[in-house]
Amino acid sequence: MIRFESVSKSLSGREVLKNFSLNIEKGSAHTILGPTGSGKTVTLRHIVKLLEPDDGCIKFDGVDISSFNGKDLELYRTKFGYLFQSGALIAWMNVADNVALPLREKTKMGEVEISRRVSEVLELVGMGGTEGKMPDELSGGMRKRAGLARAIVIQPEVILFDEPTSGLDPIMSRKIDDVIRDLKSVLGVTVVMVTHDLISAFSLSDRISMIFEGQIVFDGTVPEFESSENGLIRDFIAAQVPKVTKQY
Amino acid sequence: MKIPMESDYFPDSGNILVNLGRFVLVNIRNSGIGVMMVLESFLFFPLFHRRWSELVRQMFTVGIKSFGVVSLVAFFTGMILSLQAGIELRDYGQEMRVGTLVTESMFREMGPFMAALILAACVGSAMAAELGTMAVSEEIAALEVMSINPVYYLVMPRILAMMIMCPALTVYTNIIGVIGGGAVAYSQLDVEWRVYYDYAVMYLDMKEVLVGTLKALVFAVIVAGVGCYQGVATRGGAVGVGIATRRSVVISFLLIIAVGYFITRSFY
Repeated sequence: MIRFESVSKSLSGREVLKNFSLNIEKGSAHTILGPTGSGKTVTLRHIVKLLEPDDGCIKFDGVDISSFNGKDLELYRTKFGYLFQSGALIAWMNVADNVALPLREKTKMGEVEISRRVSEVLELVGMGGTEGKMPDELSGGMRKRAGLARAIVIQPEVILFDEPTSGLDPIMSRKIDDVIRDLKSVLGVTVVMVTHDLISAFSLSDRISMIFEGQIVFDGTVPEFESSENGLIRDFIAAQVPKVTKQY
Repeated sequence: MKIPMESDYFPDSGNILVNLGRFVLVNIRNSGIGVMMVLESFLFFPLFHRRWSELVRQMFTVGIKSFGVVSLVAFFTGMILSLQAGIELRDYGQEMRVGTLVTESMFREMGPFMAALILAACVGSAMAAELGTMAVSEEIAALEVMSINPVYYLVMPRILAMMIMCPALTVYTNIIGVIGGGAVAYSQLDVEWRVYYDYAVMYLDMKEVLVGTLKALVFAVIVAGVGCYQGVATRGGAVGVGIATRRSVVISFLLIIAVGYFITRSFY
């Protein structure tokens, strides 16, 4: 469904992605793991064309997205929901207006229908009754769930999660995992998640890719990842073992 | 909206001359991107009704919230002009003409100039800080992913609001400045209000009013355009927001002074 072919990208004089290739299957939950600064978020941003490769190409359903501009790009982006690390809620709008934003701007829905749809998705992410709250009244976890509600309100085919559990306590992190799992089963969407939280990765993923210094060093299933003899992967797992013992 | 980072195009080099060239090229490119952003926002003006509530909010911020500062600065500017000119004119027994001098100065130069500087300091910087915070907290990226053009959604209402309110504030500044001048003329120079008023309007013609309004319009585009561009181009967290805010004020001030001169040069 989404295919990176030999993508290279430099930012601020540093090569973030180096000859990077990756394939994400339709309907799968694909997690990209890696240490901080390894190029995970840059990878996600390329998928929605917030960044463009210096070299190589990215294909969606076999079509090179580099030619997308204007209406094509607009149409392409409607296939995606994107949960940013901070939730990225517009600060001067309440939760309901934030979630309704893509509906108001990009559809011809009436206010009654928008209101019904907003309540529906807020219920889905466990945020029912918070419509009138402002972003600065929400906890980190609630902000992420509100951001998630906004990401799914236009029923995307793919949801991109950028560190969905970063900065959250373990209980809230598992709640977010549950919401993502429920969404995947209810909506049947493709999930692409970047994280360094192994519990999330192990419990949600069909497939894991490990990125290190801008290159994929592992691509396989969760059991394959766990049994990998790759030193980087062993170190990565060992660093989080006390936290993940038997929880997944 | 694409705002590439500097080093994507011109990598840093150890050579001073190369870095100087890099600095010039980066600034030329950034200026070009900023101008294109402003021009793009003009294309969205016909859609202003879809952003009506934001437009009204921005007009309130630009106009009403700046009202107090503009009033005080305008009044004192008029007073200073009147006092300085009046003292000199009194030596020649011509202090009754101070009204003409204050009015001409305010309408031709000081009104648009003072209003624009206040708006650059109060509102342009606030625009840079607000949009800069949105940029670093990924809110602008979120708009782009939702296929909502940030130029249409954020920049257009701000530039349009400034273009409506800046000329209005300029006219208000002119009037308050002339009244301030009159107060000094009456209290310090013993010029009657009636005489001051007669001389104030005697030489004021439509050209001064129109050129002043044109200046206000151009200054409005400069203040809002620079503020918005510096905001959306912000990188690097809270430090970046601070830099963007400072840059927006400095660049706006320089452009207002330089462009103001060339407009005056073109018409007088």
